[in-house]
Amino acid sequence: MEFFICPCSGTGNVILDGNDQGPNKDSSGGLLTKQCNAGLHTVSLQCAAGKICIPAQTTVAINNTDPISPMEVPFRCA
Amino acid sequence: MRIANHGLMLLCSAVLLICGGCAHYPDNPRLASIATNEGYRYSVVRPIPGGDTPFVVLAFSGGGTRAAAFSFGLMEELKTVEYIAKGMKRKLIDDVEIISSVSGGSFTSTYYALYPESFFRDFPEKFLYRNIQMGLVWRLFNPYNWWRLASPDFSRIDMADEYYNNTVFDNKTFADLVNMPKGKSPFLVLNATDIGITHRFEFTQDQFDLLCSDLSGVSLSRAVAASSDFPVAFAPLTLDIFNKQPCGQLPMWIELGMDREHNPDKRRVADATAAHSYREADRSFVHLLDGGLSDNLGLRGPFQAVSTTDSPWSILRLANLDKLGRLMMIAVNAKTTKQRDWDKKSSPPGIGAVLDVALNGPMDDVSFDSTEMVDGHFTQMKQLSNTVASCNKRLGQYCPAAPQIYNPITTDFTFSELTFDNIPDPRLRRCLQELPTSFALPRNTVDLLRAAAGYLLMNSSDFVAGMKRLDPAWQPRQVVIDPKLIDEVCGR
Repeated sequence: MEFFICPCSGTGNVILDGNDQGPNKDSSGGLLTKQCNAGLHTVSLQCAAGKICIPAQTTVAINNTDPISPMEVPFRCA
Repeated sequence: MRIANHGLMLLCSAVLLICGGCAHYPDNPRLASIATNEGYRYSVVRPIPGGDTPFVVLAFSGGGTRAAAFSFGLMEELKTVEYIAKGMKRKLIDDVEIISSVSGGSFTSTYYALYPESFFRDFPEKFLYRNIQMGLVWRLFNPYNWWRLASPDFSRIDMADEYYNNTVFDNKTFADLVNMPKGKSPFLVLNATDIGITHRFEFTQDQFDLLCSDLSGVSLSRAVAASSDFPVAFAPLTLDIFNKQPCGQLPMWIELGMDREHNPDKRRVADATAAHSYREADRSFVHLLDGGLSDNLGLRGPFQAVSTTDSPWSILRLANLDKLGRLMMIAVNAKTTKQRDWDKKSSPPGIGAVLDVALNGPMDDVSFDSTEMVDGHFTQMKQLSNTVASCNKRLGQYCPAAPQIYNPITTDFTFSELTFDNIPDPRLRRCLQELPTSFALPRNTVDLLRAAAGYLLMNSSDFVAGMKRLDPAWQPRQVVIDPKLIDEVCGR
């Protein structure tokens, strides 16, 4: 099992390989760690209405992570 | 006169042969365009779970009527299991989200998915106590079928499909499952084996998207026939692939998964390559055999669903959505264990015995690995969760100012396997382990299998522990298997 987070100044829904995995943050702004299988994945962050998350989509190899140190897949909200 | 008679006979034979040559398996319909919100998919037939009730996944193994009766017994027992959650009494059977099945177990799972209300009343007479084998053999004696079987596009499995369709599944199709009210019956995953690529093949719209075919127009009997298409007894069942006209993009994970360099998990590469093969120009047909050849427990699909986000019915995705508080997986394994005395003499076992080992040996091995994989995965997830909890405890003790680490694994995992090996009474255990694999069992044998499933569930330490974590006041029911029934079936 692999773990990753999507840090961003804004809040949005994490889309992994085209499928919604829920919000990147909890209601108090803490980052939520997501789980996936090892390997190559495409990640995007669907920001709240009126905002754009950059990059629109990124392809990353998620390997060798653990729940204490998940991989960071960062986004910028504009 | 004689010449005229011979001529007439020849003409009749030619007409019959031509008609027979026209016999064709029922074609699966083409799908013009993929629509992910339509068709027989988990997300279409089941509402998103709330996360506060157990998410129950059942896996029914192969093994003819033995497996069908054993899994029916589990369903009967699940119906009696009640627990209290948030002050409300619930039945565990209402929490069954997914049933994945193979071969004999597919008759039980399909009938339940189709008729959840009349299942307990009708299924025993309609299938379990019926001599299905004799019904199939009688069809072989019908001269009309001889001519049909002369066609290269119609075989014994298509005849079996017709028989199951008429006698068990009432001409119902996957469209009938799609049209049921959402959440009324569990999501059914019928597993067969694609022998062209030696890979698991499931009857879901997500799988049929790869073929550009519409599963809604496929009969349930056809899927069950494929799932229970025992090699040699039946010929492979054929499906059409419509990849010449594009119907839509493949799911994103398939292209990503085919990258050998960046995917350390070779299973992912193999699954992606298998999925991609349906769009390759040189594939026009799929030939299917019994699901047991690739997974005789029906556990591989659920394992992929709990351990990856690639599965079209990913259960891991529900964990990411915080909708998976409790996952209970129950595998009903009707495998037999034969006692053999070959090693007492120097002469090797005969051809029948060798064929039996060649067919069943690898299947048993794969099934053993499947249960170990699921059990091991659940154990690993618990350990990871415990590691984060221990780390947070230490942080609190030695570094109280530091923020706590978020624990993403909040699911409570339970895995139970029902197998004859766990029957404590050696006479009964041996008796069940030596039951034949056929589609005809005596009535009392079916009843014994039903009772054994109930007994095994209520005596499964894993299941009982999982239930007690769910409802600390819950107590297992005392199940006693009627000694007279044991005597009748197993002898004194």
